[in-house]
Amino acid sequence: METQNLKYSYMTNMWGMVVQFPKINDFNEWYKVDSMNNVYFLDWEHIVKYLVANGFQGMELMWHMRPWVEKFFGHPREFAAFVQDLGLEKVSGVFDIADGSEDRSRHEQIIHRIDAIVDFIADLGGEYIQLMPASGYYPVGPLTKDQVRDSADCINIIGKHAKEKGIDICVHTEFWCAINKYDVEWFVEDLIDHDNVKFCLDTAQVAIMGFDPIDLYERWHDFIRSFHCKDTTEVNTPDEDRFKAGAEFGSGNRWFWELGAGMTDFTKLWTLFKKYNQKGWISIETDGTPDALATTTLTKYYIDRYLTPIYR
Amino acid sequence: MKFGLTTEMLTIRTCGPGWLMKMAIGYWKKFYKYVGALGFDTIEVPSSPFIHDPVAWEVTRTGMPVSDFVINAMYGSFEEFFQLLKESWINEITSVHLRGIDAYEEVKESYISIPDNYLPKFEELIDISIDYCTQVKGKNVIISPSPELGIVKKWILPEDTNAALIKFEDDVIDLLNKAADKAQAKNVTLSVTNEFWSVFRKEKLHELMERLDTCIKYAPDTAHLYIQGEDIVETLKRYKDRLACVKLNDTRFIDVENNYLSLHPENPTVGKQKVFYDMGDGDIDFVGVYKTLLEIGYDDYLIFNTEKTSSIPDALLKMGITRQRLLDI
Repeated sequence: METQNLKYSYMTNMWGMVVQFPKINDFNEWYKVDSMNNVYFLDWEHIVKYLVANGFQGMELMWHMRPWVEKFFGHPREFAAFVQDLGLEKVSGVFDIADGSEDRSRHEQIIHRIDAIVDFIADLGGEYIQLMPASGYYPVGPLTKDQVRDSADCINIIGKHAKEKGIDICVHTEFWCAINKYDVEWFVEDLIDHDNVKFCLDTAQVAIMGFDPIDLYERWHDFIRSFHCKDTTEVNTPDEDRFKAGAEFGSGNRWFWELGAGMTDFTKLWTLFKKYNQKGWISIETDGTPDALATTTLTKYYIDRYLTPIYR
Repeated sequence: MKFGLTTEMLTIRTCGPGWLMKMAIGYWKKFYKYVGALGFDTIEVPSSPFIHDPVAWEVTRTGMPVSDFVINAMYGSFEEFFQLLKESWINEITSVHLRGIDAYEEVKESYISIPDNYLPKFEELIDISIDYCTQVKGKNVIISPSPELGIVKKWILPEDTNAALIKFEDDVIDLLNKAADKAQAKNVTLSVTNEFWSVFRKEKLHELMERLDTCIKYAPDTAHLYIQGEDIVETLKRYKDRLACVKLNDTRFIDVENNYLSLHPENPTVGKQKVFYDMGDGDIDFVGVYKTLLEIGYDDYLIFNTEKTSSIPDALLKMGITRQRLLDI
C-alpha cells in the first residue's frame, strides 16, 4: 500500500465563533419550529462527523474555543476522546494571535496567555499552534523596526516555552497583520529562531499580500511545519485595502475560496511536496464561506481528484 | 410608550451557515435598513469595550456598535454613524446594555486574579458604558449585574460558600449605587435586568431592588422571567413605578434541569436545549404583557429582542408581525 505522507486536518473557525452544543439531543426542537438547515451546524458531534465523512484525519481549533471546550467537556482530553470516538485521529493544532507583541511592555501577559494555550493543545494531544505574530495592522501599523524586533523576541520566547512541551509554534502571517508585506521576509528569515519557531504557509494570506506561495515554499520549506491551504482571487491587493480597519470584513470582498476556485496553482505546490518529501499535516481552511460544509466538501474533492495523485 | 429593537439580536457568539457575514460592516448597514423598514426607529446597542476576550477582540473588527473604538474605526465617526442610522430611518439610540460576564472574560483572559480583579473591572465597564451612552446620545444604561451564577461560584468567589456569595451580592449592590451617582451627573438612568442564570434571579431580584437607590430602574426581559418561572404580569405590576426599557423576548423553555446553575446555562446539554425562540414561536403572551403595561401607565421604551435565532431576516419579520399585527402599535 502506498505510503501516506500527508494527513489532512481542517480548521473549524468557519463553523462558528461559539459552537453551541457538544451534541444536539433532538433535532426537532429546532426543525419543527423553523424548518431550516441551521440545526445541522450547531453541535460538535455533527461538525466532526462531516469532517470524518470527507476523509479528514484531524481538526484545528481557535484559541477562543478553549473556554467552551472546558465548559462542555471539562478537561481537554475529554474533547480529544470525543473526536476520536467519532473517527478523527486528533485535534492537530490551535490558531492564536500574539496580539500586542510589538509592544514590549505587554510581553509578560502575552507569553503567559499563550503558554496556557500551549498547555491546552498539549492536553488535547495536538502538535502545533499557528500563531499570528502581532496585532492587526489597524490601528498600530506601520511598525518601526524596533517594534518588529520586539515582536520577534516575544515569539521566540513563546516558541522556546512551547518546544519544551513538545508543541511547535508556527508563525502564520495574515494579510491584515501589523507584520506585513514590507517586514515579513526579514521577520521570518532573520529574526525568528528556527530552532524553536517554524512557519505556517497560508497560501491565500501570503498571495493577498503579494507573495507567491509556491516560491515561499521553495525558499522556506526547511522550516515550514504546517499549512493553511485556501485559495484566493485577490492576489497582491493594494496596501490601503489590507491596512484599513476591519480589512477582512470591511470591504465586502470574498477573500478566500475553495482550492481550485482561485488563482493558486496547487498542483505546483504538491509537486514541490513530492520534491522535498513533505510529511505531516496539511490543514484546509474555508474562511469567508457562506457554507462551510459545501466548501469543505469541494476542497476535499479537489485534493482527492487532482492533488493526491501527484503526491500523497 | 416608545418602541425599539436591540441590535444584540445580531450576535457573532454563535455558529451556523453564514455567521461570518454578520461580522461585515456591509451586513450591518443592511441590517439597520431592515430594522428601520419594519418601523423601529429606535435601537439599543451593546457596550463591550474590552478586547482580551478573543471573541470581544473579533467583535472590534466587525460592524457591531459595541464601543467608541468600533464606531470611529468602522463607521468613521459618531456623526457618520448617526447619519447612517438616519438614512436607515432610525432616529434614536435609546439605551446601552452591558454585561457582567464581559468584565469576567476580560479579567480571565488577562491572566490576573479573578476574585481580586472582577469587581474593579466591572466598575470600569460601567463607567465606560455610561460615557458610551452619552456618546451615542442615549438615556439609559442597562446592566446585567452578574455573570452566570455557575461561573460566579466556580471562578469569581474566593471560595464557593454562601457567605462569599452574600458578600459578592453586597459588593455589587454598593458598586451599582455608587455608579448611579455617576450616571445621574451625566443625565443617564441606570437600570438592572435579571437573566434566569443571574445571581439576582427570583427572590434575589426583590432584595436587589430594595437595596438599590430608587433612581435605579428595573429593565425586565420577558423570556428570562418566564424561564425562571416568574409571573411576568405580576412582576411588571410589582415594579410599575420603576420600570424602564422593558424587553419583549420569546421562549417556551422551562428550566427543569436547573441549567441556571451550570457553566453554560443558555447551552444546555441535558434535556431540552433550545432556550430562546423567535417572537411568536414561543409561549409568551405578548398581548397580555402589552395590556398590562398600558394598564399600569408604563411610559418608557418597549424593546423588541430575539436571541439565538436561526435567521436574522425571519426573526426581524416575526418581531414586525408581533408589533404591527398582534399588538397593533
